[in-house]
Order: sequence, then structure tokens, then C-alpha cells
Amino acid sequence: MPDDLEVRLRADGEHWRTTHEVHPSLDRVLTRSGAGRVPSWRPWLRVAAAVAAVAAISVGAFVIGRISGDEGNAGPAGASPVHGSGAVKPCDASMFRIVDVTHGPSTNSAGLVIAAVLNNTTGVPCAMPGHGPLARLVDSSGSLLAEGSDATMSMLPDVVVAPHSSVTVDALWLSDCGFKGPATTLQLRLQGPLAPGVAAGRHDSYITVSVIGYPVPNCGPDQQVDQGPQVFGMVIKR
Amino acid sequence: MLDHGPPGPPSREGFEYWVAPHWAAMAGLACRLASPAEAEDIVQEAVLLAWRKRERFDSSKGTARTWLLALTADQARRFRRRARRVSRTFEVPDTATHPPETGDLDLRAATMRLSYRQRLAVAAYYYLDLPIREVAAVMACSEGTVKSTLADARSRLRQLLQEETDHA
Repeated sequence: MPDDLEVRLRADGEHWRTTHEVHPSLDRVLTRSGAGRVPSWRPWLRVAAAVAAVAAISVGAFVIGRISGDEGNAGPAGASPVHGSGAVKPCDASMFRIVDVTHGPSTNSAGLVIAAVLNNTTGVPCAMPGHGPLARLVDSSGSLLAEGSDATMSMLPDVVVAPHSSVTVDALWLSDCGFKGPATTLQLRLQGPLAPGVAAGRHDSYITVSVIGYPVPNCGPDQQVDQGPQVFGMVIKR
Repeated sequence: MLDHGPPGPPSREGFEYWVAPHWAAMAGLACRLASPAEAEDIVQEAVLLAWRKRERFDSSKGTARTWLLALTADQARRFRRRARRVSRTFEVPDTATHPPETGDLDLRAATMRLSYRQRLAVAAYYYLDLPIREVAAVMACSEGTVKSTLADARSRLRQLLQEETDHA
């Protein structure tokens, strides 16, 4: 048994510090090219991204507050705001994989709640905008049915989704019978607010959740489907 | 390592630059206290906590580095507790992996068998090269306690290393 245990500890510590011993996966999560360096270490992610991104640690979830006519904004639960929108690029739908979609009963006579758990499959964080309408409704041909004021959507603060982390987005659609048939699609828009009057078809990024067979209460027979509430066909589109 | 930034809690806009110089140390400490998979979550949780509690940072009580490392160590402790609960519930064997190691392998292996506080003291003092007063700030104890913890850790390490030598 060496008497120089402390010498060994110091030598090993120095060796550890000088050989950049960081587990590869941690390094992959925490590094980004061009992010600037701490001397003697590999580049690290901009902490601004990590700071707000940790709002979605592991399978973090937040619930968007609901606004609906006279209802107030319930506000999110558990979300951490970004510190500055300029530090992190906006989320793009192509970054995400839908890992789960659930739906809930309508909260009023013509409502539909879709909750999509989205996983950021990339090694880059992104900012999910919290203001402005988040969804629009399109039919099977892609024609826009409603958005903006036609779809009273939930609001949330900007949050940043960490790499390989998940976030749950609730979309409360309070359109008055906007669903038309089995292929009506609810799209969750991830880039920026939609300015009033902006025509559909601009290059935005959407995650598309196809809602098939969802009965819309209190709507006319041509806008109601017979099957029970089901969700199919999760597609991510640019 | 320098403690960058002005005294006092960081601003919302400057938080990134306030934490960035200490990011590597936080990651390194997390790696030495937990498995690599856990280390990622530990660091992220610590940064989140730092963000939420940034207004509570008091530069008169310690540096940004020690504050952030203390948060990291606390998160590591919580993760260990959680891991033990899961292991007991599901009878999952402890197969936590550790970074590929070079250098003094038996010393590293013995270090991982120390108690949590001993391992924290060793990691902060020998591997992060923090002075005693900063180790005390990270561990939220007195400098005397740090010294005694380090002494206990070295005693335990000698015992563990001697056992390995006897079994060899």
C-alpha cells in the first residue's frame, strides 16, 4: 500500500483535468460548434439554451393555459421561460418526433383537446414560441379551414426544448364545428406567431396531428363523424 | 479557475455568460458523482435550479462557482436517492456505467466506493482542484469538516486499495 495516496489522488486529478475526461454522451449534449470555449475544454452549448431548455428535462411536460372567450389564461405549469428569444433558434417541426398523442373530451360544446408529446430528436435546443395562435385546421386536401381567431388557442410563454427532451403541447381547439370529416387535421405550428391577415401557405413549420373519427358535439351531421374519438397518422411536416 | 462576472445575482440576460465558465466543472463533478447518463440530467437540473433561484445568489456567501457546484452536488445526491428507490422497487441491479477511465484505475474504482460526502470532498478537492474554503462552500460545511472528511476518505481509500492488493 503506497504511502503517497495523496500524491496519487493529485496526479490522477491532474490527469483527469488535462485529458478532458467527459463522458461522450455528456459531451455530445453539451457541445455545439462555435459556441465558444472554456480553455482546455471542448466547446459547450450556450447555457442560455440549456437554462431554458431544462424546462423540458427528461419527459418534462407543461400545460398551456387555455384561453377561450371569457376564460382567462390558465397559464402553463412547470415551464421555464427563455431568457432571450435571440439566443435560441425557433423550433422547426422537422426536429421533433411525436411520441404520443392523446385527446381529451371537449370542454365545451365544440371543443377538442389534443395533447402531443413532442421529442426534440436533435442535439440542438430550440425555442417554441408561446404567443400567438398555435394551431390551424386543414382538411384532407390541405385547404385551410380555420386559424387564428377562428381557433381559440392556448397561449404559453416561450419555452426552449432541450436536445433529446420532450415537451407536451396542449392545443385546445374551440372552433365551432371546424372538423369536416375523417381526415381533418389539426396542425400545431411551431414557428412564430401568425400575424393577422397573413395568408395560409407561407412557409411555416407544423407538426400535423391527424384527428380521425372524432365526433364533434353539437355540430351538423355533415360535420360529425360516427366513430369514437381516435387519433391517427401523426405526421411531421415542414 | 477564475470566477467570472460581477458580484451579485446574474441578470436574466447575462445568465448564460455567468454560468458558462463553470459549466465544465459542473459537468465534471456530476460525472464523478453519478453515472454518465445521470450526469446529463444532473447538470441540467442544476442549471435549471440556478436559473430559478438566481436571485438568491449572494456573492458575500461564496462564489458563483461554489454555488453552482453545490447545486450540482445536491442534484447528484437526489439522483442517487432516486436510483436506490428504483433499484429496490424493481430489483434492478446496479449497472451504472462510468466514463471510460484511464490512469489510476484501481484508485478510481475505490473512489466510487466511498460514501457520497467523501466522494464529493475528494472530487471537489483533488479533481476539481478547489481550495478547502471552496470545497466547504460546495459541501455547506466548515473547513474543518472538509478536512476531516478528506482524511476519512483517504483512510477508507487506503483500506479499499489494501483489500484489492490482498485479493490480487
